[in-house]
Parts: sequence; structure tokens; C-alpha cells
Amino acid sequence: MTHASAWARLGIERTDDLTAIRKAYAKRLKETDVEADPRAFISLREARDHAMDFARAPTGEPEAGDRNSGFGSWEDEATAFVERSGQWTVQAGPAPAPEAPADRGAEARQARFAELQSLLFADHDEPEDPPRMRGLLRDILADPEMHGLDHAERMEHWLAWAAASAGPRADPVVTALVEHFRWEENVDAWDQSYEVVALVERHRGLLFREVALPSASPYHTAWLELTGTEPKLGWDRYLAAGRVAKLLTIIRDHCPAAEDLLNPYRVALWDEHLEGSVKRYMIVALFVFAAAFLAVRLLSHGA
Amino acid sequence: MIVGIDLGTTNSAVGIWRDGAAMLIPNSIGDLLTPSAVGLGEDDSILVGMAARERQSTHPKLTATAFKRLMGSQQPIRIGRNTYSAEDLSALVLRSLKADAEAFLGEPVTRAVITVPAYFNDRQRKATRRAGEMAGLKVERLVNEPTAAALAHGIQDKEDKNPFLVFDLGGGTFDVSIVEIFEGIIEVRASAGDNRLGGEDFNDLLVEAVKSKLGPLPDDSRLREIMRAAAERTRRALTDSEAAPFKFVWEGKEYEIVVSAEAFEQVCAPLIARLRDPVLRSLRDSSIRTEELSDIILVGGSTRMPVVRRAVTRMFGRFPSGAINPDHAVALGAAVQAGLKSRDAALEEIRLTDVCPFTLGVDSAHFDASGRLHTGVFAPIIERNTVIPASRVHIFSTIRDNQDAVEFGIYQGEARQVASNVKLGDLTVPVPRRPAGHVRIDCRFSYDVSGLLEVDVTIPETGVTKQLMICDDADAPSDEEIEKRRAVLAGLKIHPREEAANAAALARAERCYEGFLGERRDHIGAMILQFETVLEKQEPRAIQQAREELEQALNALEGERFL
Repeated sequence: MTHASAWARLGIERTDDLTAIRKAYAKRLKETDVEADPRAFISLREARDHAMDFARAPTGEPEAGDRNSGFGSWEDEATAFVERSGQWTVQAGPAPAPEAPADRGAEARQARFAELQSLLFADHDEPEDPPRMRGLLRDILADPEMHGLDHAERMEHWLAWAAASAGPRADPVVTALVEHFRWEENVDAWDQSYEVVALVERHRGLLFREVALPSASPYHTAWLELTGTEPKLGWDRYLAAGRVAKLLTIIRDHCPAAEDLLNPYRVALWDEHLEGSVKRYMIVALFVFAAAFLAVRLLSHGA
Repeated sequence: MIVGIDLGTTNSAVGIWRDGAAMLIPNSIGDLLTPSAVGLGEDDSILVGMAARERQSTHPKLTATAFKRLMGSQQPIRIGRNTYSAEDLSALVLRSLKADAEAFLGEPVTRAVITVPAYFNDRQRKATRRAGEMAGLKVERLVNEPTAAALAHGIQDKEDKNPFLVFDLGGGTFDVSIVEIFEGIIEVRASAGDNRLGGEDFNDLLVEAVKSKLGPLPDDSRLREIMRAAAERTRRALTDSEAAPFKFVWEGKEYEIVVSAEAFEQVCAPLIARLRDPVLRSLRDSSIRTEELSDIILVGGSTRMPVVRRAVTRMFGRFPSGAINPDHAVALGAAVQAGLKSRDAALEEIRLTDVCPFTLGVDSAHFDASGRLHTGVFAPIIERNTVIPASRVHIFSTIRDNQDAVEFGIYQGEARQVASNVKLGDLTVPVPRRPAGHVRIDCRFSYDVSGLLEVDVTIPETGVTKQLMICDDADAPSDEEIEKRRAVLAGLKIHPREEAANAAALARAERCYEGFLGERRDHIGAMILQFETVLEKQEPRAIQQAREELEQALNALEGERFL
């Protein structure tokens, strides 16, 4: 559909008056038998949508948050927040814009977001404070404002973005988030956001670790071996090999997210060693077989 | 004359558009609502409606309700010695409503508009159509329930309305729609829902909670139904008071436990939480915030529950509108749609556009960043909440060298893996042998208002086009089977329509007999005998009087009967 044909289809002159466009659409729609001629309806709808897009942004630049007046893209929200508050808290960290009218609750809320954000995006060498993070999240989620859908929606977006972007520093709060927003229930939707998918994966990995890590777990040593910094050598390595191989297989088959919690260097070393040991066993087995074969032949010759 | 029918989980209703307004047609008992219940009476005749519902706790193995939940599946439902499908039972309810309409209008009724939950999938919709056909009705259109409610609401004053939200919580299903009205165009912006969330689920949770308080009780079908009916009563009583008794009689013993509104709210918390998801989804899909909504319309009997109203108020930060009768809205809307269909002059300036509530697409495959091949990935072609009729095209290519054909599986649903979606059909198209990715394949989906999906796959290079119309589904019965079933249903001995009021009164009396003990039980027993004596005399006026007296006596004992 071309620009000109859209206006022709609607039967009006080019305009940025939304009401006029809708009136034209309504008029044309009443002249259409939608069931008999679906194509006519489809082209009329296309023309209307085209015209309305134009009307909303005659300069060709879509206005921020208008087409998707709901939640906008995060870059839009980030820019908006920065302009409003005139401050950069962190390099790339939009906190949800305080839409509520000035009330004391809003200030406390903003303070909580800011603090959680600074904890999540703190520099690498700053100490972590999991209890404080958890406490802040609890307060944010227990806020009565969370009953309201708009606020809850904004919070869900922001928390998902913040936790996903913060990487391992967000681990103390990932499980609480996944449980509160019940992300596991709809993680399989085709339009689920990347952030939520990543966080559910991380959550599964953390749950796996909770099972594998405790000293009572049969995979305790194997887990430490794959995440640690002191590699096993010689006889210790030989003893650990079986368990390590099993753990890696379980992780890769059932919980790939857990592999992100391992030390990739150690995993690579072990992969090579285990592959190598398979080769070694095969060579030994080959020799044994060859030896047995020769022995049998010699014996039968001798007999 | 086209009638509009609300085929609900708990209750159904039929209405027409007449003299510039929608109105509901009373059934043979004089009620505007007919319970969606089918049962076998004492004389082995089929009972439909109130009489069947009343017999549910006294004869649970001879009664079926809430079969709407099984529409689309061929699961057999046993009534006495016979089994029926949900379609058969719905057809019987539709037949009863058809008879009521014909009695009221004084002319044969052969065409109808029937409502379905917005979130009913393809299979469920087709099952509803079949039920209509088996009842002897030509189904002119299936209309989504929240859309129907929006129609009923919008028609009232014919003013422009900014987007409003329809919150429809019925007996078995929950639907949400966001609708806008301007210049007489009623435009649905988005729909979402949960097919497994309704008043019945609240009853189930309450029964579970009470069971845990009362200690171990035998697992008996009659006891289950008795407790379910008690839960329904308690739930309704809680609408008007802070606490209500949950009481029932079982094996000569009276059980009673007081349920406070607070306790009930705690028990239902998981269901209340589930109410948010479809609302959020419809808001997201239409890019509207709750503060932009002009109104919240409550539809469906279950929205009378204070716990639901409180949840709605908290969700939207405002009180919902009380403008429309929640029990009648959908049927009235169906009647409006029937009027639209028959091009009534009064509706000349009204048009309705709706959306498809589910995403339609194909399965595809792609390589990820590490070169691994992922198959069975859902590629949406018509996204949910696209206005219909719609036509969209997607471009695909081959994934292997020298492929000689592409096979498209067509799916409906929201999951990323097609295995979790509903398969509607498949289409294989030959392609010229080329290196992987060098063959362009155009796949076009065209979806119309009646739910007919047309898939066109074109290979521009060769000009080959293959088309598939999705209008069959695998488990559906064939035309002959439908005819056979229609004949079977037609041959069933149905309890006479004129006798419905008496059957209902008697069934209610019997239920009450079971529900009371001692003196009151004896009293009811005596009344039943008396009524039966009058019935035998077959004098209509005497019967009517006796029936009214019986009803009044029962009202005094257990409160007014409700629908």
C-alpha cells in the first residue's frame, strides 16, 4: 500500500487529525460487506493504520511511547527518565519513571529502586550484600501499589531488565523474582522477553547448584572440582573422573543453565581429559584384544 | 428470525432482537436462565434445565453439568446406562432453548447466533457448531462472549466510548476483552482468557478447605455433589454477608461449619492471582494502560463475589461499572449480533470487528549461534489479537542443500515449541533443488470472521502454489456420524416441555428432603406425597396451585431458589 493509495482508500485528504481518519474509516467500513469481501476490509484496515501512523508522527519520527503507549522500549524510558531527573545514576540504568502524583510513598519507592540498582550494578570489586538486596526486593514487591496492574507491569519490566543485565550479582534475588512473577509458567511463550527466559534459566541453574553443592550430595566433590581453582592431579584425578563425567552429562542433558555456574576453564580441561581417557582406554582395550587374539592363535597353532 | 444464544457452563439463555432492543426469552418455568444440565428422570426420560440441576446431588450418576468444559474433546459422559459427548449434551440444551423460543415467538426457529468464550480454540468452536447443527439450528455465527457483552453495553446509548475492558467470569471460563466504540463501530482491540477458571473452581477450593477441617469423609459421588452444591450456596451467601454456613446432610448426620469472608478470600487466593494474567495480556497486546480505560464492565455471575470485585478494584485502581446485568449481558449481546446478522434497520449504523485470540503460525527450523539446528520452532504468521479478517505473509527458505520439498505444519497457540501448540493441519510443497537458503518460499495465512483459515504456500521461482483450507479436524466426527447422532438425539425420550416446571419443583423437593433431618424432613416428605397426588389428578389449575405452595414452603426452608 502506498502513501497516496492509503488516503485514496479512505477517501480523505492527507491529514494529521486522528478523529477525521477514524470517521473516514467508519464511513467506508459501513459501505463494506466484510464477510463477502474480506480483501476490501483488509485493505481498508491497512489504509487506516497507515494513515494513523502518519498522523501521529507527520515528521516521520514516531513519538516516544505513542504507538505503543503502554510500555515503550527501554531506550525510550531510559531517555525519558534521564531527562526528567537530570541525573545519571549508573551508565545504563533506567529506573521506572515516578508516574504517581507527589506522595510520600513515591519518595521512599524511588529511594528503594535507586539503592537496589546501585547494588546490582556496583563495580566488580565492591562487596556484595545479598541480605540487603533481598530485603529491598521484598519491600518493593510488598508495596501495596503492586496490586495495581500498571505499576506491577512497570515493576516486572524493570526488575527483569535489571536482574538480567546485572549478571551474577543478581543471583541472590533471581529465585525470589521468578517465584513472585511466576515466570516459569509462561517462559515457553513465543513472545516472552529475552530477559525473562535468561532469568528462568539462571534460576534453574541456581536450584541445581543447591542440590549438587551440599556436602551430603554425591556430586559435592565433583561440583567443587569443576568450579574450584585447585585442580586435582594424578591419583585424585583418576578417582574423581567418574563422578565428574557423570555430573557433566547430567548438567548437559537436563540443566544446561547450570553449566554457566561452572568454571569454564576447568570444564574445558576436564572435557579434554575425559576425551583423552576414552582414547586411552580404547588403546589399552585394543592392545588387550590384540594380545588375546594373538594368544589364541598361538595356542591353537601350538595345539 | 435469528435467535441469540448464550451457551454457558452453568446457565444458558436465548434472546432476540425485536423493536429496536434485545430481550431474553423465558423458558417453560418462566425463568430467563436455563441451567446447562442434562439428566435422566424417574421415567427414563431426558430432563434438561432446572429439573436436571436439582437432581444432581440426589442422582449424580444420572446427571451431567459443566460439560462445556469438555467441548472439543470426545470424552464420553455417562448418564445412567448411556454415554454422551459434550456436544450431544449441549445439543440437548440448545434444543430445549429452541423449543422455548418457538413457544414464545409462535413460529419455527432454525437460525441462531451462539456465543463461545473468546479463548475457545478451533476444536472447541467447531464442536459448538456441531452441537447447534444437531439441535436443528443453522449456526449463522459464533460470537465471542466478551464481545457479545460489549455489544450489549455499547448498544445501550450508542455513544462513542474510549477503550473499556470486559471482565467475564462465568461458571467455567474467564475471558477478558478490550473494546472501543466510535461512530457506531464496535472494535475489539484484544482478547485473552483462561478456559479453566470459573465459579466452579471456587466451589472446588471451598470444598477442599472444608474437607480438611471436617476430617476424613468417604469418597462418594453423591457426597461430592452434595458438598459442591453446599459450596455454591455458601459462596452466594457470602456475597451479602461477612460469614455464611457451609452445611449439608450426609448419612443422617448434619454437618455445619461457618466460613468467614476472610477465610474464603484466603482459600481462593490462587484463583484470584490467576485472574491477573489474561488481563495483563490483553492490556499488553493492545498497548493500553489501565489508567486509559474508560470503564470496567463485569460480566458473569461469579463477578458478584466480593472477593472478585475487590481484586478488580485493586487491579484497576477504580470501581467497576454496574451498568449491565452480569447474568444476561452475553445473551443480550448474542441477540444484538442476531439482529445485526438479519440486517435489522435499527442496527444499520452499527458494525463489529473482532480479533483472533490465538496466534497462528507454522513450524520452522533455524541454526543458532553455535551452529546447532533447532527444529519445531513456532514461527507466528498471524499474531494473536490481530483484527480479522486478516491476511499475512511470511518468507521462508530451505534449510538444506538440494531439498526437494518443504513441509509446513500449521499450528495455533502461544508456545515457542510447536509440540505444545494445537496442530491444525499440514501442507507439503515441492521445491526446486538448490543450495540451502536459496529457495524463497512465501507462506500466506488468510483468516476470516468465521474462523476459516486458508494457507497458501507459493514458490516464486517455479510459480507453484499449494493451498490448504483448514476446515476439518482429525478427531471430529464425519458428516454421517453427525447425522447418526442427530437421529439418536431426536429419538431420545424427552421429558415434555409443559411438565418442566413440575419436574423441577419435584426434584427440588427431593433434594431438600435429602438436605434436612428430623421434623423438617418429614414435613417435606409429606408435601412431596401431596404434590404427587395432585399431579396424578392431572388438573392443570390445581397442579399449578399445588406447585406454587410447594415452592413457597421450600423457599421458607432453604431460601429462594437461585440460578
